[in-house]
Amino acid sequence: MSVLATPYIQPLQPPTPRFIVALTTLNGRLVRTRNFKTPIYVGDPINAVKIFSDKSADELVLLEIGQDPFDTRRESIIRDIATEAFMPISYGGGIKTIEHVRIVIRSGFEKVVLNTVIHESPNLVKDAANEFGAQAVVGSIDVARNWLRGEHVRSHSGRYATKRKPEDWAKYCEDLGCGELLLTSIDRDGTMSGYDTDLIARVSAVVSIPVISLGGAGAIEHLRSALSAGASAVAAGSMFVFHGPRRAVLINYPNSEIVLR
Amino acid sequence: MTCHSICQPCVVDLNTGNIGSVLNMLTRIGVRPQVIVSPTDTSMRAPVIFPGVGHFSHLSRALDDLGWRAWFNRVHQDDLPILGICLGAQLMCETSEEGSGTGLGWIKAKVCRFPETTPSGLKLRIPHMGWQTFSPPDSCLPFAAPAGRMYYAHSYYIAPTVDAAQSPYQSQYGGVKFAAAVRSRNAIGLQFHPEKSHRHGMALLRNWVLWAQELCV
Repeated sequence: MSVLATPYIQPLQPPTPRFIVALTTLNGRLVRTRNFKTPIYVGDPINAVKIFSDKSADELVLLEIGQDPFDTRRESIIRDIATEAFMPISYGGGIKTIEHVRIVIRSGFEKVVLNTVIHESPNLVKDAANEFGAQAVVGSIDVARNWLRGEHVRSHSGRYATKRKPEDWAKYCEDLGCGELLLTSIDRDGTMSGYDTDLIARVSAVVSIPVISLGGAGAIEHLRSALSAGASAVAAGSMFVFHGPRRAVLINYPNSEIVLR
Repeated sequence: MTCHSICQPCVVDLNTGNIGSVLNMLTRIGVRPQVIVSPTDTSMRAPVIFPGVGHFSHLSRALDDLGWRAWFNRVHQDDLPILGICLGAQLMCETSEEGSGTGLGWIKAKVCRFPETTPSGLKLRIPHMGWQTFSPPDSCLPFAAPAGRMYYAHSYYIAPTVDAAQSPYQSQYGGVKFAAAVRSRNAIGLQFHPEKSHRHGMALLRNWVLWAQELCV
């Protein structure tokens, strides 16, 4: 039981980028969406989380897009999901108060994902970061483009347009105390046609916290191009859940160490 | 709350952090963790787990306000096994750049914030979040820890100690060396989260529990 005279120093190696599973639920049912619309039921979230945990996924983000209130039913789903996840896992959707944050974190989630509430009561970011550390608070930014407004940030799971520009909003979220950003392109959501790498490059240039890109991943090349654009981690939904041109539901998780090294 | 009879691990709940994931993992490996919420049991002999998320000075204050500091020092002096995870490991050190509180001071080290640029001049993203291989040589820790990927999420790091025995395993982020595992007597601190590191973390925790239970009989 002797201790080494000199410490063991691990050789410097660039960390493997995280390859994150993003699951969406609509009032507790696992769905996939396209451009944040037309949710298709694909299964049970607890079972899906268990499968991804068994497959040693790097990390998982669970986003509830339904408008049901944050009630005891939701709390029990959150607890059931946490007991199946032996990997880092984040929860977003309907979190309005520090008490909601506590419920999520105490259940066994590492992080909360905040989006709409940052527009409504930004102090929640500060309170949550003070209590649980910045690494526990993910700022979620949903971005859309259209001919009327140009590129802008949307809240309420994409239902409301704001006047914010993604770069300004990202900087604001960082200054409030978010430890990480989840940057989603609504236009690419569910299309599997590639990330908005231009958006990723602009946002990751203005902040010094990690940026996770979401929306559009369909192939390994897409992941690589998001990382070279500046993303610290890449997230995908449809890519893990749909298989083949007919989008059959099949849960898979490629080995990130092979894919992204 | 007593835990001495069956020697099940006790998880310290300072009511500031996430003990849920530690409890979930311990339950999964087949032990029945007890949660202790106040340092009332002064004769307890059981493995102690000190998980921590949050803010160094908040937790430091909680140590004083609730009487945990003396309790921890007694457990440490009695050579009982303690496992600090993340901020729990950082609290074993002397001071931190995250606020003004003092730690338990067992590890003669300071907790520092990662610099915004790497020694080679590149922008460093903080927090350090992600997976790194942990493969300690045999003599590094007093129990077996099979090599595997472990999950890190931290903005502050434990600077390597002068006494190499106190930081026997060091890792790096952006060229900054930090202590990934620290040790003082039978107190072990881990910067990463074994409770969130799949089967590798599960194996490490199981081995720690077996070693720790043996020390308590």
